[in-house]
Amino acid sequence: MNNTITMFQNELKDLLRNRVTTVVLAVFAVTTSLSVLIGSLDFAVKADAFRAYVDALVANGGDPGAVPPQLFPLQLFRGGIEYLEILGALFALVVGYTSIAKERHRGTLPLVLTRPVSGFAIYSGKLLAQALLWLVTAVVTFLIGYLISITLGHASVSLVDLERVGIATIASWLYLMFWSSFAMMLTAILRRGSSALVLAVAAWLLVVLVIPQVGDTMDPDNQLPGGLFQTLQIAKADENAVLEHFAGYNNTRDALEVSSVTKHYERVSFAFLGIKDKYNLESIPFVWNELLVNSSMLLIFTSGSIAAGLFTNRRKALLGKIK
Amino acid sequence: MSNILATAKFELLSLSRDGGPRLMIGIFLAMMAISSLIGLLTNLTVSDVWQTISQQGLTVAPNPFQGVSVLYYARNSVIYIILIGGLAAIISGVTSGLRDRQAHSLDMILTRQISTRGLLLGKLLGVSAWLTIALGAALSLIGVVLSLIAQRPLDWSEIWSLVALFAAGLPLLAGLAGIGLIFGATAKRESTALVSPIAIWALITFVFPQLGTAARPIALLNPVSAVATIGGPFDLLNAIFSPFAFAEQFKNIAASLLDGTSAAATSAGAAISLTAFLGLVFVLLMLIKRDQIRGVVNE
Repeated sequence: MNNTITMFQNELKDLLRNRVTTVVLAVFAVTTSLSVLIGSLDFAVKADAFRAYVDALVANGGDPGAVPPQLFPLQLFRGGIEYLEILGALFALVVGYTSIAKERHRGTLPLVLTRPVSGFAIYSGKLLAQALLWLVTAVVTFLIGYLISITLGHASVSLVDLERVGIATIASWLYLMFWSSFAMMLTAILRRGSSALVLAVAAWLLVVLVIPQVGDTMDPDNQLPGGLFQTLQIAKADENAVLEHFAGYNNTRDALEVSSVTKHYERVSFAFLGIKDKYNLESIPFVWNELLVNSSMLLIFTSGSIAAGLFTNRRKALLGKIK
Repeated sequence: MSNILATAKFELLSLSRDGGPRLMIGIFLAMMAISSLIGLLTNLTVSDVWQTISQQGLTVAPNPFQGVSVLYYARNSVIYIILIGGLAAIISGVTSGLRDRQAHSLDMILTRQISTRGLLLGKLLGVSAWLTIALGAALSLIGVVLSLIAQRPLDWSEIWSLVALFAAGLPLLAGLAGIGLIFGATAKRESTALVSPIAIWALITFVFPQLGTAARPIALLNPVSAVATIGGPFDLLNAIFSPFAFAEQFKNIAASLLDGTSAAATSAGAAISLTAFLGLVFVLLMLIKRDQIRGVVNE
């Protein structure tokens, strides 16, 4: 246990000295702020357009019965979550890879392993330090987003909203931990550092971008700008009834999507933040119940990746020569 | 000149032997081959959805996909050029920049009659030739799959559109490879060399388009362009950032070539933007000094 703590402290010092840590925090602070800001501006433009439409309607003696657009401040997190999905996973890969690769490159691992230190202590110490980094990253990202949504989106501070943001923060942390430990596992298995990094990037490309992209492309509603059903002016109830005829196709598409940890993370965070309309304004217990499978899968993916890292980061693997 | 060509040839040979770039090109070609089939499957399903809606009397609108050109099925390939092709280009560029530094052979190479600019130009030419071969292979694959879908050989205008599409992809990919080469040749750490160009790629692909159109980052991966917000500050933001959203510019060219949904003037502007991108990267590459590429690479 003492060795784990020592490794944790050492890794934390390294992370604090490394410029990548500052870059990671800065990138998420900036992209989240921009996303929330752009979302707020987008809403303001649409609200103005709606007001102009109502004014014109009233001037022509029409009935302004339409419901004005309503801002749900937590929905402004959408862009920030998507950046965490894409860039967060990439940064987590690099930090995970570097934590093992740097020791190999410096030749410090054989030296450390002359002491009574196990591969487990090295791996768990490093992983704990990264866990702290990703927790800080997730908290900073959501905190900045929340503060901007309060100031620009005029959101009121409520305990329920904070709970929702808290759950999304934990989901983001689990997601980043998955990628960090995945990279540590690959780096331990592969002797050649650059191969581990390229393979990790290839996996990131497939899991984060290609699989969700194929899933999205296969969605019939994504085939026209603005949506197929909206273009054909089909009501939601009719849309659902029609799609029931294509259950096989939709199940295949869904199976493809759920093979990606990114999609589970997206579904959980979108549901709790009310970004997905179906869950907006629903109670937290209701959303928990509905998203049980996705939450469990996110947890299973992350635990599996951490366990695989534990299994592969053994003394023998860590002592392997670099090619 | 002969030294530059020799460098380019050596680069091409090295890339064809290197596992990382080969893996990425393999994924690129595999996804290209199946992208048209995904397009066909989706299109058939959407037509069935429309038929069901029509039979139930819920719409009188015509099938939005009736009589679409066979090239319509190639539109997913546009996204894979941006995503997989872009990352394959970056990895090839980074690998090219790092190789001699990691093998400690750079100092030896620089004792020969070749300047720093000549060496980097040769490397860029070699990587570009590698990407041209990959794009050519992808073009052939798409051509065969589309012929199978249409159950006839493609006509000359269709072939020309596909060739123009892949030719338009080359400055984008060569530019990204050039960015990878810049970082591969100068970065102090291997991880920085790989992550920095990918971060720039993400900026070009996701952040700039979002600033100009308010589109969601993930929505930009859909071959159907997102509906841009008009009015307020977005007109100005779009004017400022859209020339730098090179991936979206490429999507505009593709939309014009594959389904005619983008105006010719927009495509011409997009082509100029992509050429300027490659030119800018080339200038930056040529500004690199000898001392900058001789630094040691850490982990």
